Amino acid sequence: MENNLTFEEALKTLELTVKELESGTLSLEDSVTKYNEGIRLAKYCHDLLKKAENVVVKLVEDEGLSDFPKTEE
Amino acid sequence: MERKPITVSALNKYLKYRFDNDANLQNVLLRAEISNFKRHSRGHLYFTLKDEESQIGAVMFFGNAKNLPFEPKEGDKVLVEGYVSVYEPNGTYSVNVARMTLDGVGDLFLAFEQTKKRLEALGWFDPAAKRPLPMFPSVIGVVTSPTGAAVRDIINIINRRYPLVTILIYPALVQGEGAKNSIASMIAKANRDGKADVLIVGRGGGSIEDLWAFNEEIVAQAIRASRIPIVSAVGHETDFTISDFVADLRAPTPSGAAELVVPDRVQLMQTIDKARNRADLAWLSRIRAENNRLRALQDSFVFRDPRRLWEKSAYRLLHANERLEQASPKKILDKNKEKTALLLQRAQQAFQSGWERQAALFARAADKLELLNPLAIMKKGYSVIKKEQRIVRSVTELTLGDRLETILADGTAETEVVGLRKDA
Repeated sequence: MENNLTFEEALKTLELTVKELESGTLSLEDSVTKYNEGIRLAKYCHDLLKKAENVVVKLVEDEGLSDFPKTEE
Repeated sequence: MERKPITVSALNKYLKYRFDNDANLQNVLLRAEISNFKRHSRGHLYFTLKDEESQIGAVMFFGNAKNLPFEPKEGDKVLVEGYVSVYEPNGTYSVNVARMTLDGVGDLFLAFEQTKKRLEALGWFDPAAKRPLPMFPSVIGVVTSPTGAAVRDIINIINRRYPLVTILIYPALVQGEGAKNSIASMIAKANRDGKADVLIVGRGGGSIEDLWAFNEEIVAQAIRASRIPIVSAVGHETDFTISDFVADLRAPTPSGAAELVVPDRVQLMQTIDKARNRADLAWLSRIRAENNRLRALQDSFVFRDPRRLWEKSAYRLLHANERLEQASPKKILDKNKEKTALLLQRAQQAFQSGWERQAALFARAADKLELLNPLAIMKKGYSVIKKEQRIVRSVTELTLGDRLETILADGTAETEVVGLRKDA
């Protein structure tokens, strides 16, 4: 389900989830659910950052986009 | 009145005071030619500024000289900005140079100042109009030369910091004749595409002429018209262009722009870890709280001393039992037994006393009895009939054929019932 989330959405949801958990107003069952969700989201965000390798670089041309020659490092 | 002479020091001090407080002398823009140029070992520059008729000494200290965009030499026509200061020990005055450009370039500098003033007056630099950059862009547009060092720096830095984005390079000429139109049209194209969340507009370092396109009004106009927030990144940290003032944010360099448009993943990971820790902590404290509640419940007398649960009932039961016992037949019986015993005792006592009285009565009765001696009566002709040794008093005790003893005064006769008749 998280696979469709952007990093920003996932991070936002994570922060909301943590706030909810901290508020202490959830039922125990809900806080179990939220906690698990929070852990999952944290892992998802972490993985996104960790696994992201290279930015996609495209050259905008009149006809559209083309690959931009790879950065020499 | 005799005039009081002053010292030379006092005069020079006074002159310095006057110079320092003259607004015209404190901000001078000169067109001149360099002569007697000397570079001091500490990096300070000493020279003379002159025209056809006059000259003035000039000094440019290292702090300002290190940013000079050209290497000054004898005979250079220059534009100089600075202030006039008095050197008290010598009683000389000179120009303290803050900025110096080659003349011609000096024209550009003036043009820059004029454009800046005009656009500022139009409100194009209004800080209130500046838009914030998105925190987490997914597409970053870069309007720059696709072959320059700037684009490489930007890609490398974004790659290192936040490789979750797509970079769209909007290739533009960044110097020369066609640059201003190229830059402006690429900014417009990026806006038409609408793909980028933020735009970097800029180029690497160069001379003021090289950077000039970014001082053009058409570029400023394109930046101002952009719906996409723009970070201006032109040249080095010391280079200021009109684009820098119109853009939503000025980056000191293209690399700096890359750092401004994307978050840093190392910091983000820390943020995520922090959120995770907070979640752990919240969860742990929740569990602890629930545990405490549970323990409090477990510590309740209900579990610690369950007897107390039914204690009350037990008391009631006990009480009922007592009452029941009170009401039980046995109790009544016991009570009655007691009563009986008492009665018996009383009866015995009564009997005792009664017997004694009866004995006395009997003695008296015996005397009377003598008088009623049945023998004496029988002698008068009465008899007594016995059936099976019992005296018969009624005909109803008899049936036909009964054998009876008839006792008379002087003996007994055996008799048999041969007829029965009951008196009415």
